[in-house]
Amino acid sequence: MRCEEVRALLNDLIDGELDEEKRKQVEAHMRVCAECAGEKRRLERVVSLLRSLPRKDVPVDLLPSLRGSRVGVGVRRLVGGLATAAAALLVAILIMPLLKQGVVTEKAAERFWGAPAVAPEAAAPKSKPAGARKESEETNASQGVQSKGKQPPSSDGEKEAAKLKQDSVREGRYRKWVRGGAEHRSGVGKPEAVATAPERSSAPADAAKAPKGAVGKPQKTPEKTAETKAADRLLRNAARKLAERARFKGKVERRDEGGLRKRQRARLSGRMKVALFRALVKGDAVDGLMRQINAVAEADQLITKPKVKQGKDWIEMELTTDERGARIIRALIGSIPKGNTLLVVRFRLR
Amino acid sequence: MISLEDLYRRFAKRLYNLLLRMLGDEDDALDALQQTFLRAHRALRGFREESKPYTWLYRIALNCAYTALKRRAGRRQKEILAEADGWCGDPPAAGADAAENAQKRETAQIVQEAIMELPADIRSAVLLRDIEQLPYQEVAKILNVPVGTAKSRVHRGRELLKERLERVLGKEFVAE
Repeated sequence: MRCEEVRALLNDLIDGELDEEKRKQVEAHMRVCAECAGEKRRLERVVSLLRSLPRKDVPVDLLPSLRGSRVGVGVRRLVGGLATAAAALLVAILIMPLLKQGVVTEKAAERFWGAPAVAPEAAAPKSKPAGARKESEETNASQGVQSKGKQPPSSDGEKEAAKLKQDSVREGRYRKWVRGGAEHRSGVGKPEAVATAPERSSAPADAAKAPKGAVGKPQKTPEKTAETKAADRLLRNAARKLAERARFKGKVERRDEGGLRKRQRARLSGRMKVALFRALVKGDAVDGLMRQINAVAEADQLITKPKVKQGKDWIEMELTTDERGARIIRALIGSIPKGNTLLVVRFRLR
Repeated sequence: MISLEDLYRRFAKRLYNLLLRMLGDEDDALDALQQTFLRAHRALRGFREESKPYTWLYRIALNCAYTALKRRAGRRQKEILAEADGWCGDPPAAGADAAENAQKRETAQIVQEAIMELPADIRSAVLLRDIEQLPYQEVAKILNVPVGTAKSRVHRGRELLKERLERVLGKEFVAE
């Protein structure tokens, strides 16, 4: 065997992965080749150095915080779900009076919710489906106005409206038809479907398209359009904010990390560590943790007293410390009783 | 079904030491360990017992380590190593053994520095094979590569370590 061949097999020899025959050949070569034998020794030395590296115990028992975080997952999901539901409810509450006052149009509502609030045929007194008719009646009643919309539509009209809607949906033109308004609809020659309930101010898209013979004053004016646009925008912004708030707090926190890191890095010097501890803890655990950390800071084991931001169920500490101080704080956070820690996030910054 | 507590008790120390060697930093290793078990917990339901739990956990741990390495890519390695001298061995004992212990600590420090010089994929292969002493098949499974690739990474890693340790330790390297 040549030296190159032997060298290529040395690792396998050390790992005991060579078959008997090859092993004998390699060993025979090494008995006569000091260089290859030396190479094998050096490789063995590397492996033995690696294996002799000391093993260290985990310095902190992470189980309490891991258990806590499991509670946290459930709680976060629950909170997230509830917040989303609350946001939806709030938007609904906001939008209802506006709908009644005619500030928000069906068109706007449709854009906002992504689906028409009321079927477009509902605007036609003769062709209203039952649900839309009811809403229209309520609106009219609240304004104390009598209109044709109050009278029950003929069954023919209903059938026709249902058919129209069905056809439009089937052809994928439903949305376009709603957005297109009267111009579009009158263009396609369906006057019976666009007859307006004049007092239904919540349907200006339809109202604006009222044929000349419609009862009551026309609803759409340039002022109204501007107003509805503004309201539309307002609602969209409100919904966006609500949705943002409803998201898991942690996401917001994570977004903050970059800024905090930058600020803290700027203050770094030597071997000092700037540490940010952020813990979400329940109830009394916040005060307990604060007391303990302050006690340690006062005893001079930490370099600086922590700057603390504290909420009802979270705490954030920013401090400059050394290795030992960092270890103490980590242990303190780890010692929060089981079930109290929702999430512990720790950063060590240089 | 295995519980998170079981996994933690059985594997926390091994994983911690793996992460310590992989990341070269105690705090980062602890962070990665916490992250490993959080991820493991989330994935526990989907864990199929056909693979060994440690194979699965090692894979998660290494992914966490890679994430941590990426995150701190901007930081200078030397700084980290300079601060890592506290954990490369037990504190030196007083008395006759003190010098020997100090020597061991220093050697361990040099070996760790050499490990940190390895590219991450080679480093993980070497750690799994030579420190965790896993068979190549397991190493390949954890790293999600063919056995041949796992082997060549380990062999390459040993070569690189040998060169570096020979250079730094000099005579001490061969004297055993």
